[in-house]
Amino acid sequence: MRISFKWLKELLDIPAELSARDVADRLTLAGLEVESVEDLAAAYRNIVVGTILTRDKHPNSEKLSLCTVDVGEPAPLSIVCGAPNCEPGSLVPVARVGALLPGGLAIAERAVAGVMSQGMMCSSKELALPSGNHDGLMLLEPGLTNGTPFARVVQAEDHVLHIGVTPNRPDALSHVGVARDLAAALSMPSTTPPPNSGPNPTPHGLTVTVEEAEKDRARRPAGAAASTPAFRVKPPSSTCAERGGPIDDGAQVRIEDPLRCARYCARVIEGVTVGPSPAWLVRRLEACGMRSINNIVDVTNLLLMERGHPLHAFDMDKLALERGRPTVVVRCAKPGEKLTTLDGVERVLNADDLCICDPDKPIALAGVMGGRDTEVHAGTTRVLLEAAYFDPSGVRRTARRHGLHTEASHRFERGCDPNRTLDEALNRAAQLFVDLGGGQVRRGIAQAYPRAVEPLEVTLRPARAAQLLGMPGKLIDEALVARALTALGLEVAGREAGAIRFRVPTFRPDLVHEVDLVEEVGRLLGLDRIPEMLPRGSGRLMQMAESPRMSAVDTVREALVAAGFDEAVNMGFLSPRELAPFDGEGTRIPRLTLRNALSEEVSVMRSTLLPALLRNLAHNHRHGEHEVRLFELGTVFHGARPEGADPRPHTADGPPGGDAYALERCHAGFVMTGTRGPAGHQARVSSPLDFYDAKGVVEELLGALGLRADLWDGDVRVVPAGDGVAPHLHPGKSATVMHQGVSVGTFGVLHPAVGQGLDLPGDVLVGELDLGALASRMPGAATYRAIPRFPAVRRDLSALVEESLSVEQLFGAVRGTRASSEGLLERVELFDLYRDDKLPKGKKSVGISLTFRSPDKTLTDDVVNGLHQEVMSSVEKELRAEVRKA
Amino acid sequence: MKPELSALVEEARTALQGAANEDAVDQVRVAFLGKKGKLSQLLKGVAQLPAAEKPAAGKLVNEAKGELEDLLARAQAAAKLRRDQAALQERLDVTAPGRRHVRGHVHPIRETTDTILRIFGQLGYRAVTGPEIEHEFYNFEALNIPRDHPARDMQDTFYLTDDVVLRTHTSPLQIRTMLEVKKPPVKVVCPGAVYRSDSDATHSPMFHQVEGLFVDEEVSMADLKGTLLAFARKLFGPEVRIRLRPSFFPFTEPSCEVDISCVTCGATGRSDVEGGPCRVCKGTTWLEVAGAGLVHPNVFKAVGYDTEKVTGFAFGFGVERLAMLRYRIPDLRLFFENDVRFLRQF
Ligand SMILES: [Zn+2]
Repeated sequence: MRISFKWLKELLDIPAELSARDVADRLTLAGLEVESVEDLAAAYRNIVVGTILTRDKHPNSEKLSLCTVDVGEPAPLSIVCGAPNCEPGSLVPVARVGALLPGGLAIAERAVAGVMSQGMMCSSKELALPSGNHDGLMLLEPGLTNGTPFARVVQAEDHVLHIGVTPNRPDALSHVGVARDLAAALSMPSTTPPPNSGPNPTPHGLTVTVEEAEKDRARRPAGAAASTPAFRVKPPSSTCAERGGPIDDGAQVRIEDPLRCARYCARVIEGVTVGPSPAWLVRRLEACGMRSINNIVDVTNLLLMERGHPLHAFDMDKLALERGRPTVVVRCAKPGEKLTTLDGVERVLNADDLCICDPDKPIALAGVMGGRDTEVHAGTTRVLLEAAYFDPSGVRRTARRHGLHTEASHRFERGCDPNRTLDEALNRAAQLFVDLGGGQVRRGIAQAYPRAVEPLEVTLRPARAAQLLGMPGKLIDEALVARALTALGLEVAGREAGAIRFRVPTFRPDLVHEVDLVEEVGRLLGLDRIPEMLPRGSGRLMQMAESPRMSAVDTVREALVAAGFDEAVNMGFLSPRELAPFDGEGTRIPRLTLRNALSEEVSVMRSTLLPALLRNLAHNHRHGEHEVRLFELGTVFHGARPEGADPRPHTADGPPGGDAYALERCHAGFVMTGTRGPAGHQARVSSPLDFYDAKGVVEELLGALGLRADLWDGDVRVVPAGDGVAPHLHPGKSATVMHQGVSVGTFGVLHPAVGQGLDLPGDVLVGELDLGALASRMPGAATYRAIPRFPAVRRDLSALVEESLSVEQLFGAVRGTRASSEGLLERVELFDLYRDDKLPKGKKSVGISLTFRSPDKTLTDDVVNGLHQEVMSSVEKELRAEVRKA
Repeated sequence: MKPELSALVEEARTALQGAANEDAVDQVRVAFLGKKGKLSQLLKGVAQLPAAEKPAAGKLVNEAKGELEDLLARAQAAAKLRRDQAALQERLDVTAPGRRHVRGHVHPIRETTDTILRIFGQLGYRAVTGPEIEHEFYNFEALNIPRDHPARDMQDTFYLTDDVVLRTHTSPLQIRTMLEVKKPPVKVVCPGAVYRSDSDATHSPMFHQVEGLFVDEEVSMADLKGTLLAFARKLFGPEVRIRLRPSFFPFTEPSCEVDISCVTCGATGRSDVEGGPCRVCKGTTWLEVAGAGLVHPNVFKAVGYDTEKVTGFAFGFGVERLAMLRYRIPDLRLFFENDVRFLRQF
C-alpha cells in the first residue's frame, strides 16, 4: 500500500518535528511495516524555476540560442537552448548541473557547439510530464519565484510510505486507516525506543516504563477522560447535498443472494460532465500509484485510497429498465452467462460468481471488476454510484477463478466495512462528482441491507493483558487499555469487575477475541517495553516418547563425515526423467506429482536420494573435482498411503499427531568417485574405488548404529541384489542389505547406463539405506561381557576353492563344526582372497584365521589341533576345497 | 691351558674392536661363547684332562668366560650407544604435511540446524519431526488459516491434490505435537524442510525452518522475548540484541517479527569495506530472523486445549537465513549446488 505522507499530514496533525522517516519507523513499530520510503521530489532534484533574461544567437549554430537565465541566484546561468520558444521573460523549468532527467540524462556543465552551457531548460516531455500546448520549453505560470524547486510547482514534494499491510488489516488499506493507527500510536504514553546500542534492557529497565506510566497518569488531569487521545484523525466532510429528485424515481436495488451480499447502496448523480481531473487529484492518485482516467473514475479511486472502500460508477443510461426504472439486481450468475469486463476479456460465469446485474444481464463481477458496456465514458451524464459489502470468501473465489486481483477484490477479500465507512465513501464520492463534474445528486439512497452486520462486543481483562504481554499490571490498567483502544475507534460498551466490554467498529473485522485486543494494546504501547524473562512454566515434564530416528540421523551423519564424506542437501522434488533409471520391471515406486510445479524439472517428489547426488557429483566433476564423496540424509516419498491402511506411521517413530498422506521415509544415500587411500606425498599406491569401498561405507554406517555386518557374528546379511531390485546398479556388482530377512537398502557400482548424459567420471559407487527402518532396528545400549580370562589360540587355514564359492559359504562350513557348536571358536576372519594365473583354472585361494578360546580353561595344543583338523576336513569335504598344509 | 685362554680373550678383545654395531658384537658372542664357539672347543680339551687337573682348568675356563661376557656386555652397550647416537642424527622435514585421514564436512544448513537444536535442547526443548507432505488440515485449517482466506496468499503453496500440500512451514508440527501430547506442557522444536512455490535470487522453492512451541500455564510475551534473546546470544554472541515488531500470523496472537541487531556491521548500519550502508541490513541495523507470537486460541481449540488455562508461544526461524548470517554466505543458491569447494569450507 502506497501512503502519501502529504495526504497523511492533511488527515492528522503530525508534529512538525516528525519526518516521513520518523513516521515510517513509528508505524513499523506499531505493526504497519513500512518497507521503504520514497521521496517523490527526488526525481526533480536540481530542477528549479528560472526566468529567461536574454536571448542571443549562438555563434556557431543557426538552430541554437544562447540565453541567460535567472534561477534566483546573484549570477544568472548561461544556457544553450535549442527550443524555438525560449523568449526572454518566460518562466521555465531549469535543470541545473547535477540534475538527472527522467530519461536518464545527467546534466553537467559542458560545451554545446563550442559554447559552455550551465544547465538545460526543459520541455514537459523531457520531464516525463503530459505535454502542454507547446512543443518547445514547458512554460510555467507567471508569478513563481525564480529558484523555486520544480517539485513544488508540480506538487511532487511528497514522500510515499510503502506499507506491507498484513491480510488481517483491511482497515489499513487506506489513508484514513493508517492515520488512525498513527494517531493512536502517538497518543500513547510517551516512550523513547531504546537506541540501537547497548544491551537489551534488563528486567530492571522496566521500572523506567512503569515510572513513565505513573508520570503519564500524573500528567492527566484528575477525572479527565483517560480515553481522550491526544491525536485525532480529521477526515474531510462526508456529506453530500441532495439537490436532485427523489431516488425512488431514479433507481432501485434488489439483493437476491443476501449471504454473498449483505448490503448494496446506490446513489444517482445526474447532469455530470465527464472530463479530466484537476491537478491535485491527478497528483494524489499518482502518489498512490494510480493513473488518472477521468473525473468520475478518479473520484472513486480517490475514495478507495482515502477510506479503503471500493466504489463503482455505472453509466446509468446503459442499464436495462424494470417497470421503467433502472434496476440493480445482485445475484449469482446463471451458468454460462457472459460478461465482458473492463479489461476487455469476455468471461463465462458460473453459479458461484456473484454479479451486479440489470434486469437482463450481468453488468459487473461483484467486488472484482466492472463491465465494459456500462463503463463511464466521455458522454456519460447520469451515473449510478455503487457502494456495497460483499462476502470476503466469495469475492476471493470469483477473483481467483477468473485470475483477477484488483484493488477492489483485494479489499473485499479482507473485509470491508458495511456500515459507516461505506456510507461515508458513498456520500463523499457523490459530492465530489458534483464538485468536479457538475450536476446534482438525487435525494436518498437506493439500498438493500438484508443482513445487518452489527458491531461485535469483546471483553478485555486488563490483568489478562498484562499477564499475556508479560508487563506489570501497574502499567496496563483499565485507563491505559481504554485509552489505547478508543484511540483505534473502539467504544467502551460497559464495565465489569476487572474487565471492560468494548464495542468493535465494523471496520475492524480482525478484532474478535480478547487476545486480539491484547495485541492492539501491546503494539500501540510498543513491544520494546516487554521485558525479557525465561519461562518458569509449571515445571511438569512433557508426556511424549522420544524418537530414535533423530539420533540415528545424527549418528549416521557423524559416521559418514568421519569416513570422509561431505554432506549434501537437495530439494525434495526433481525431474521424472531423473527417476526413470531407478524403475525396475514392475517395481516402480508410485510417483507423487505436483499439480503446480515450477517446471517439469522439479515436478515429482523424490523416491530416492541418488539422482540428485549424482547430479551433484556431475557438477563437481565439471568443476574439476574428481575425488568426491557425498552423502545426504533426507526424506524420500514412496507414493500415497493406501486408503484404509493402518493410520499409524510406518515406523515406530513416525510423525506424531496423526497420519501422513504419503509414505515418507528417511534415507541415507551416498555416492563416491575417485581413489582409495590418502593423497599427497604420503601416498604409496592409489587405486580406483571399487565395490568393497562402498561395502565398507555401508558396514561403517551400520556399525555406527550398533548393527554388525560381520560375516561371523553380525546381524546383517549382504546378498547379491536380485533381478530388478536395484536396476540402477551393475547387475554383478551390487548387493542388498538384509536385516532379519528384511531389505534395508542396496549399494554397489552404478549401472553405466544411469550415468549417461551426466558425464560422470569412471566407476561411481552408490548406496542408499532406509534410515527409518534401521533406526527401529537399532539395539539398545551395549551389554557388558566379561573380558576373557584364558588365552586365545590362532590357527590359519588356506584353501584352494571353486571360483563360485562365496566367503559366506566358507564361513558356513566352518560354523558347522564342533569348535563352533561348543562355543570354542571365538572368531573367524578372512585375511586373504586372491586369484592368479598360476592357480588352477576356475579356482581361487582363500585364507581365513580362526581364533579358538574357551571361557573356562586354557586350551591345550592338542585340543586346538584336534578342533582345527575338524575344521579343515569339513572345509575339504563340504566345499571340495583343497586345504593347503602349512 | 692358561696361555690359550689368555690368547682367546685377547682375540675376542681384538675382534670386538672391529665390531661396528650390535649385530657384529653378537657375531663375536656366537664365535666365542656359542655352542660351537671357541670356548666350547677349549672346554672339550678340559674334558680330556686327567681328573686331578680338571678343577683348576675348569676354574680358569670359567674365569675366561666371565671375562669374555664382561667384554661382550661392554661392547654391546657401546654399540647401542653408538646406534642411539647415530639415530639421533636423523633429521626429518617437519614442514612436510602430516599423514591424516580425510574427514568430511557437515552441510552448513544441517550444522546450523543442529546448533539451533542444541541451544534449545539446553533450554529443555525436545526435537520432533513430521511429514513434509501435509494434509491441508495440519498445514492451514488447524492453524487458523481457513480456505478462501487471504492469509493463504502469504504462502505460495505447492499442491498434490485439492487438500494435500507440500508443507509451507513447520507449523503443522504444532498441531501434530499438541494432539499427541494431549496435555501441556509441550516444549518442542521442529526442524525440517518446507516448500513454497517461489523461486528467485532470495527465495528457494525448498528451504528449512525450525519451529519452536512452548505451551504451559501463564506463558507470556516476556517469556518469548527472553527465550529468543537467550537463543540469539548463544548463536551470535553476547552483544546481540533483539527487537520484536508487531506483525500478523494467523496462528499466533499477538504476533511479531523478530529482529536481531545486525551481526554483519555490528549494528552500525555501515559497511567497513565499501563505506556505504551495510549491505546485509541495508543500513537499518536490524535483521529480521523469525516470526513469533502467542499461540492463537483457535489453534488451541483445534487441538482441544483449554484456552483459558493454557497459554503458549511459538516461533519459527529460517535456517538458511541464519546460516547465511552466521557464515556470511552471500547467495542462497550455494546451499543446494553441493559444490565440494563450498561444502568443505564448513
Ligand atoms: Zn548491517
